[in-house]
Amino acid sequence: MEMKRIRWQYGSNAVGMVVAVLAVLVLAYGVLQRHPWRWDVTANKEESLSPQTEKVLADLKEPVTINAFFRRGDDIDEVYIRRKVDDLLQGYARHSRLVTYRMFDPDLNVPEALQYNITTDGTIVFSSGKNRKDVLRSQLFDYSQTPEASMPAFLGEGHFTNTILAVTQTGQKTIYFLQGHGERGLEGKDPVRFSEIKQFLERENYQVRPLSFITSAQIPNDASVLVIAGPTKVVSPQEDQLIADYLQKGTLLLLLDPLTNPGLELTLKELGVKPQHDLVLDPGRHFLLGPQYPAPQLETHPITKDLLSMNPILSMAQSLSFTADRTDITRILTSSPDAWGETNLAAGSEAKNDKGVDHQGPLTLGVVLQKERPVAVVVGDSDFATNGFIQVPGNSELLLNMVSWLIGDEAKLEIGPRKTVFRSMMATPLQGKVIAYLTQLGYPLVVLVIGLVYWYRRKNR
Amino acid sequence: MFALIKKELKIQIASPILAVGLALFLFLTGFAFSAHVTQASPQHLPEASMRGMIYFMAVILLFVTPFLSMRVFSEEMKNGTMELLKTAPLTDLQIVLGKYGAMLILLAIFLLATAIYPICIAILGQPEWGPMLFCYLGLFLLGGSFLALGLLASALTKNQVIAAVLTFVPLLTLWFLSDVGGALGEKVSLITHLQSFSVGVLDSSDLFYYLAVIFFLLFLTVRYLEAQRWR
Repeated sequence: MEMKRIRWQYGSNAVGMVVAVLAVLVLAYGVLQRHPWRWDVTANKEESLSPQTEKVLADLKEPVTINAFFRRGDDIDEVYIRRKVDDLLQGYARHSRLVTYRMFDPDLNVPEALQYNITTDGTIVFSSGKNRKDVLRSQLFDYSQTPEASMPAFLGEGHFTNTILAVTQTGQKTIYFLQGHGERGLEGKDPVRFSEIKQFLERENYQVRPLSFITSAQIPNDASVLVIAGPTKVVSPQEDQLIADYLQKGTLLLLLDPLTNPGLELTLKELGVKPQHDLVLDPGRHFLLGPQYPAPQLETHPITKDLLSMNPILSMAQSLSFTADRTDITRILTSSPDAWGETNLAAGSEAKNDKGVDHQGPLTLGVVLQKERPVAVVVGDSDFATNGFIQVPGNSELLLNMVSWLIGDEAKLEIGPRKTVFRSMMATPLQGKVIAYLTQLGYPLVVLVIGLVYWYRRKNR
Repeated sequence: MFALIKKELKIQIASPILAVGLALFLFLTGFAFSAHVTQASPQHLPEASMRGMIYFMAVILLFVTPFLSMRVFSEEMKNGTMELLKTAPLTDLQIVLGKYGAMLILLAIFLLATAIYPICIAILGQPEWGPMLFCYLGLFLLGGSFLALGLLASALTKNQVIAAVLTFVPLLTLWFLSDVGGALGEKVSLITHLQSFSVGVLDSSDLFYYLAVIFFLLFLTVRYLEAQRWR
């Protein structure tokens, strides 16, 4: 009886102690996980987050979920981009408890891929609340300015951090689309409407609203951008005056189709841009269907920066002009030198380049006006952003970039590209063979023989 | 205690199983290494580091370590030498540390034997040595955790096979926890903590994780040996 009591006492003591030790260890681990201390021994501190990112993560107030969808190659650790993305995003998740990160293989995790409506391999979905924004693999590396020998710079961190800012921004920016003059409608599935680009903008966390001067005698104060997309009827001089005044402090995206006369004299005078009332035909750069679908050349500008691998396409565009002394106006979309602006637009007339009558290429198809701040973007076409054309690679991006440049998203951080060092190793076929035989056969065999000889000698000593 | 380490090592080296085990270990890792070096394509560039190898080596350690640890206490119990050990002028803690220390030395020998891969890598490319060392540190800690569990399992039974199974099954479970256990599983899983080591970063929480796992398992083993005295 006494023995039993002692045993029970010892036993419960032991269990209690084990539980206590475990609790202390788990607690200490929890504390360390929240305040980890990291020592990065890589040469370029590749595995560390930039101070800007650390600040954004420290200031997070709402949870952010990051789901990356990358196909797995033969060997997880060999697919460089996937690994790079994975390492970096794991760093984000480690840094903030509010960040949840998962990497999925869309082939294996079909329910998740369907849930997030993934159509492209290499999509990284950032979501917070009901906001969602995607980063695509094509945006992650800067292939343009790399000498062949070295690796393209990694832009991932800048994109990821800015995307986190975008999905967690509480103050939504509002974009107004002017209505009432035959402009592109925001609702409806017709190919000529703007309902899809509206969705794109909303996905970028912008609020999109129609604006009619019938119901509102002014441009609302919360307008971050006013969009006038393809008006076909004349905008009254009173309305024109309102818009021209608005430009003193507001920003405007003006998309003007040929064969229309929307007036807007005061606004255009304020901008310093003149639509040429011609039809651009570009035999040098155009979509397969014909020269009336010019594929504009993208001039260097923040708007076109990440579109360089894509070819946006316009449809039935007109050219624009501005006087040479306007240093605040910059071309962003131009035609090839072969293009001309057909001025004889009478029905049934033949489209040919009449030197001296038609406008000669290279023509200006889109410009930006920047004073101390971005003021306006003017494009001689509105079709490119309609439902019918928005699926062309580059078209939606072009419009979204115009809007975000106009808004000048102050939150947007410039996180410089990271130099990536990929230390490759190359074996000649002969070296490869030598290594294969040496490491798979020769070396283990030598070890085996030495070990057995040693054992045998000891045994017989 | 050092005498115990020495004795343990002598026993291990005296057995041909160690040489066979080491040769098999090197054969398997060599298999992975030559694949790592020779299977090159533009999407599949071999990197001059041990990163592509570390998970494979971890898997092989998972299979090898139970065989290293299974006999440590089980054999003593089977041969009846456990009583002898217990009456020796050693505390239970010293016994556990001595046995564990000997196993760590064996693990170090196994890992050192793979130094041929970094040497090959240095011939073919220009590796960074810091991250390379961290890869090995991570593997050593991971293997150390495996061995600590193996030691406990070996103390629980005098049947070596059961000891190996008792080591292997929980290890495999812990391993897959990262895939099926959700966020908590990832925190508990033995393998997820290897990631920071593999990229050349020493993360205090990951380092602590392995040390804590080892400490806790050794603590349990000491407690268990003590309990045998009054049970």
